[in-house]
Amino acid sequence: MKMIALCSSPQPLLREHLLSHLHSSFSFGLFLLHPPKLYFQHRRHKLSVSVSAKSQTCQRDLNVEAVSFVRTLKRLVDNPQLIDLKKPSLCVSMLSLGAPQWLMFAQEASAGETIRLNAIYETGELFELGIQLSYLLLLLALLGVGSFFVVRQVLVRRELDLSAKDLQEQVRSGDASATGLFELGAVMLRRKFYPAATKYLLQAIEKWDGDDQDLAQVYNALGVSYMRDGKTEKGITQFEKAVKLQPGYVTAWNNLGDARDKNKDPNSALKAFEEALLFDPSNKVARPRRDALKEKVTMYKGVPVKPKKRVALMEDLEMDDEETLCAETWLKPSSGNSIPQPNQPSFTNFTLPKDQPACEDPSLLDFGVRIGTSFSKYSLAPDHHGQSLQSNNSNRNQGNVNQQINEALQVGKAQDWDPPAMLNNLSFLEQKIHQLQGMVHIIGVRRGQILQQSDEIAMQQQQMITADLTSIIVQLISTAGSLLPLVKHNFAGPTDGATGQHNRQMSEILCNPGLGLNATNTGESHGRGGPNIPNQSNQAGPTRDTAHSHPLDERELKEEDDADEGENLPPGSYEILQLEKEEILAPHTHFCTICGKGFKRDANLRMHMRGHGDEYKTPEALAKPNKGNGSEAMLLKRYSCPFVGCKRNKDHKKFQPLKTILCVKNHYKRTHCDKSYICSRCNTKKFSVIADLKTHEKHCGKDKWLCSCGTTFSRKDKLFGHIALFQGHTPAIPLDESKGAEGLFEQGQATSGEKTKVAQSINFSFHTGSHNGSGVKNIMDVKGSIDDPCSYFSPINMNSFNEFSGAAFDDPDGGFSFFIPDSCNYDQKNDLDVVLQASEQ
Amino acid sequence: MKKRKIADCGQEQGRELHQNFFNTLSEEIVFTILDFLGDNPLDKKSFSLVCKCFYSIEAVHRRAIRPLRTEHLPKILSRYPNAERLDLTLCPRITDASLVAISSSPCGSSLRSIDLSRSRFFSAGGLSRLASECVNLTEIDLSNATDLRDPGAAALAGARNLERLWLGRCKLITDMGIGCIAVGCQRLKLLNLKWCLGIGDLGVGLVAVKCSELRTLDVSYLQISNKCLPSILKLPYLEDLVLEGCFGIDDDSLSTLKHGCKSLKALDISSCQNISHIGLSYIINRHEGLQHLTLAHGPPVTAPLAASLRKLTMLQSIKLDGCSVTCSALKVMGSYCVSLGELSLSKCSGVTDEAFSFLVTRQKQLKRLDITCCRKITDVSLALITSSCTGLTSLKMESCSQVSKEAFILIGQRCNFLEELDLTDNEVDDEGLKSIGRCSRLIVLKLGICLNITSEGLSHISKSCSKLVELDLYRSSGISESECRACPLITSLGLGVITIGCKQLAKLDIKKCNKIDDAGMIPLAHFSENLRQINLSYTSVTDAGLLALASISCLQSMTILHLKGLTLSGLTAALLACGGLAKVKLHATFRSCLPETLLEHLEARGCVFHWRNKPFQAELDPKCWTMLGDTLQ
Repeated sequence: MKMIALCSSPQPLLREHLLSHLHSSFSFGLFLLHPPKLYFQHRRHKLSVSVSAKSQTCQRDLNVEAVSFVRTLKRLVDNPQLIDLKKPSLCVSMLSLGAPQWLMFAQEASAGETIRLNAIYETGELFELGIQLSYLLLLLALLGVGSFFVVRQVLVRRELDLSAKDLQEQVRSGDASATGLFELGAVMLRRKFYPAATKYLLQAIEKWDGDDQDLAQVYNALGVSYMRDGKTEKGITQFEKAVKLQPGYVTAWNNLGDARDKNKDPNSALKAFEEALLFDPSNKVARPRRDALKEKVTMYKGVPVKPKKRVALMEDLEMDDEETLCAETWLKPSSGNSIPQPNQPSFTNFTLPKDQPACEDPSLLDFGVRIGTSFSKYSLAPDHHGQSLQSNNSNRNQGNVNQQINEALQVGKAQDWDPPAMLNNLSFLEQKIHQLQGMVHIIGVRRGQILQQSDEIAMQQQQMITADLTSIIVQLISTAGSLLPLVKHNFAGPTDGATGQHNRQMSEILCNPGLGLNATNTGESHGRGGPNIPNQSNQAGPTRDTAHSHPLDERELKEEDDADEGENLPPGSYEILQLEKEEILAPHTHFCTICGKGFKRDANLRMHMRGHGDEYKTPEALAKPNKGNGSEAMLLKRYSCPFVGCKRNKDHKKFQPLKTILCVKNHYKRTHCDKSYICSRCNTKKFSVIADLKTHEKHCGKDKWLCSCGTTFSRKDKLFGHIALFQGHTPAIPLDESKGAEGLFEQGQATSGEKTKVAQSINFSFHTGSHNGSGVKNIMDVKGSIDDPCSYFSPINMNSFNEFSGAAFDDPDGGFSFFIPDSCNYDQKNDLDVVLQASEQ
Repeated sequence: MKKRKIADCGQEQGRELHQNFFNTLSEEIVFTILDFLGDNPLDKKSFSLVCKCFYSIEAVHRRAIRPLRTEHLPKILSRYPNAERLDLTLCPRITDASLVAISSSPCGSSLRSIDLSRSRFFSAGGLSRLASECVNLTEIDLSNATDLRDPGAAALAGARNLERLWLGRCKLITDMGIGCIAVGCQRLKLLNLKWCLGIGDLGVGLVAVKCSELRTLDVSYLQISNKCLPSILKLPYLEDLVLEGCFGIDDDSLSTLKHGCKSLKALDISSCQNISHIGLSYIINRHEGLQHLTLAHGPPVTAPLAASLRKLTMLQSIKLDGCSVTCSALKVMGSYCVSLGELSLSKCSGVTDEAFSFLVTRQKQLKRLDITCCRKITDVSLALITSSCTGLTSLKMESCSQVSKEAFILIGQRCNFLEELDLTDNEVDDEGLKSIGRCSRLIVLKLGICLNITSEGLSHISKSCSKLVELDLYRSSGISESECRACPLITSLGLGVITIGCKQLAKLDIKKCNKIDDAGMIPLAHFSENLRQINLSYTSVTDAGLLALASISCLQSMTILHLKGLTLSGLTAALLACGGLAKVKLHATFRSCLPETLLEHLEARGCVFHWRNKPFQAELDPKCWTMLGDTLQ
């Protein structure tokens, strides 16, 4: 066979086979499920065919596809040992294929048919069959593509809504962190609720306590939100802030350039794009835009700009803009957060087989290593620092890879990438790794117990494990690779809470591998691509740290939100003052230099000074100091809390300055002093700042709005907000409102909770009963069959009933005790059940 | 089991009566017969009186009960164990004890619907009992429960399966009460809060947040503002929203709405004084799926507003009652609205022949048209209406005084599908009626104040319109079934004929028919067993007639003013005998005469007295109406 001849040794053959099989399965999955990659995958398939069957005369592209399958299968038939080896690979594909599995089998079956005919497989008949098959496949693929689009759209929308709801609830309850707010903002942005997005992002910035580097992303998102909302000017300011915070933030530069371009400022836009290219010379967005702008700038140089034409140009770019904005803000979120997490365990697992006792068998070890290396040749991602493999890879498949790179670049650009899918991928991987771990563990235990186990079984186990591992690695690489075009931006993305949806994750995983392999190569061929990977993982580290420390920060934030005006001054741009404790707690801050009298306010002091002589009565003396000095020249003053360890203390690593002296005072008193003012009305609430006490006293004791959970609210709208937020809470109606007989009914109300529970349970059982029987009619019959309807009444019920029909309602104490008994409920129900059974017989 | 019982019953009867053919009928057949029995409760009553077997089968078959007296409630409930619908509107006094009896009765668990509107005297205790025991209850009508407070609403919240709830005019329920209901009854699909003046933004907002399955929401005349509107419009299934008379909603609040409700199909924003055409255009732009739009008593309808209606591609009906409509607006509506099925322009000023005829020629699918009091409309329009909209089923054209009598002939000639026709205060004459007689599907025909018609014309109608249910001849010539006001020539004899002919009579107004006396009341009491409401003012009825009337068990409302022959003892006897009375209008002089204990007793029974102090009005000049005392049948 020509093909086998092409492959010199069994080792590469095996690898080739495994790969091609994986490829075919993956690419098929891809073909089915990921429309943007369709073209690319198609090309790719052709490539693999051209490698394996050079001498084949290909007449039609689609034919070739079928033929390649024939070849693969024939090879398997010819080499029985290969079939043996095929098992694990099949396992792999089955594991990873999931939903489109049947399609693969259909393919194989069709291929099998062609084998039988292979004696005459160059005749037209086969081609006809092939054409038919390929048309069928094409049709199926198209169907798949269509349904995938619909399903994905629906799922994404639902997921977004769900996560937005969660986050919004958090925000409403007031314990949302800055990252939470940012996430929410991002979700809102995605859902195109721009004002809401802007609001949340602004809040996020206000509350931000993480790195400035990460803050840049928030600014960028805010900018995007503004841009989308049509507020170009504001957007530009936000982008500028972002690039100021993080000068290497290419996305922000791009967005800035884009925004400036929209704002009819091509010169500065050009600058922005050039800046972007400075940091990332190969940026696919910036380069064409820069070139276009350059052209435009030179074209319009000296010529008075005609607005109409400019607008037209702008509109031309509109589509592009939308895409870039969308992509740049959206492609990132999970890149920072979700990648490193599963990477770590998988790598440790990858090395696992070597440490295992099972690997002591030399042949097996060899096998394991062989597969491992063969894969690592194709993939770089398993080891970020494994630079040595680069060369190996590059000299092996130079030509191929280069072609693929180009394609990958094209595809990577157009491809839309969604974080939930990535997350699904990763969780799936994690799950798989856990399974594998369990399996290895069991094998290890068993090995310890039964020493005389045959080599064959051991080998099979080994094969299973290696196959699993390889599949994991391939998927991992692909997952990582799909990110590569984007990892230039470090990003503390939101951890999307999406879990479940296993049906989807399967398909998503299948979507990525083919591209993944290519993208890995791409990243490597890039000058900057390589170093970016570790960079990214490093970035993700601190982000997760902050996430863990959130609860603590949150509490602090809550306490001090009065003082925190949410400004984000870069450190060093202001002067830090720190007052002493005594100074802060002193009743007066301004003292008369003449008589020594103290004042709380400077204005009061100035008024006082008038009494000391005419020189203090001039307008200059009475004017507010520092007024005319020009605020820009003055260095901003910010204050630090003298309490060591406080976040407001300048030595704290996440120091947040206080704005004014008043802020310092209130902060210090509230946070670090005893609460000495006690509300005289309720005698429970304590305050350290007298103003707080006064605010409290205004509404203390008035209008208690009570929830069923026992929480009281001073305002009705707060109560209703609380009830709207929590499931099962109801407004509690004050007892004094219910008058007369209703007041005496209190006892009944107290137990109404229990009663409703009972009622619900009855309800449920009743329903099931009626469904078991033949619906309503059955029950009707049942009831009709009883002569005396009084049999439904339990004795207690009858009593109570008689009493009520006789006695007036004025005697609730005696009467209402009969209202509640649960026993009558149960009796009734039991009767019914018994009768139901009887009727069913 | 059931079969055997019936067989037993049959054997017993067989022994007694030897040959009872009814026993051979199987249960299923009797059920089928019962299914075909009409709504008249008396039919079912007489059916059940045929034999014991029928009696028991009818008791099993009955799904809906409408008791007349609270006293019999326990017996009724034990007799009809399968009742699903309980209509207590005829019982004036429903106490907690009655509700307890209902909830503990055999039909309590199967009860699906209960109507407590017009009933009073119950409180939170009974409601909570009802809510907790009648677990299948999906429908409660508590309209007019004006004494119901928040504890009652909280008790109602125990009915977890509730889907439809009417709380109209429950004025004492506040946000807290409706909050309890919102949390408790999360499956609500219909909620009517009309006139619940204690409920504000917070309550409605909470309802919108918690009851996400709401389909129909009526918040008419509530003090709500823009705060709850966004959450209402976020309801995913909301189809019908009534915002009538919500003065708190204005243009500003509507302009802040970012998103409309996608599922909304019917919207009523009539009488919202603070919504101008600007606010309306906001609404229209955001609800493109609207099918029914009511803008009655709203801002003037101008051409731009009408043009914005073009966006509502699904629009089927539009009601502009009481708006001022410009000609251009009508033309725009005619050319842009795709297929209007219903158009109501009653009391619209500015509807002219020219514009209206343009509209009518474009909208040929019109089924229901209301042009009440469009006084500028003439024969031209009517000719076009009848020629282009031949499918009309309802035409209301009260007081279109410029339409001549010839035009009405066209109605009969062209619109043969008419089911409802209102020609009150028009020039229609006997020729017209003869032509209208061709509309054989007529159900409702109103001919009030049509001075040109005679009994001859009516006889044409009576010959051909066999489906007629309502005929209004108010101040006309002949006899009406519901209103006979001021027809002094009608005698007791005529009334007797009417009552024998129309046994379903529920409402009778014979005010100022001073020739009617006791002789008319006796057949009335005997035949009209469904009579609910009667006005006897200014007639010649005396004690005997009144007592005869009191034997009508359904009678709920009586107006007895200026009866010359009435004595105190007669009135007392009649009031005591009439157990179901809920409302009595009496002259104020009786108030002091009637014994205090009697009044207390009656009020405890659920009767409300309205004391009127009108002076006796001398009869108007009888010649201003042409009166004819003929009977129809």
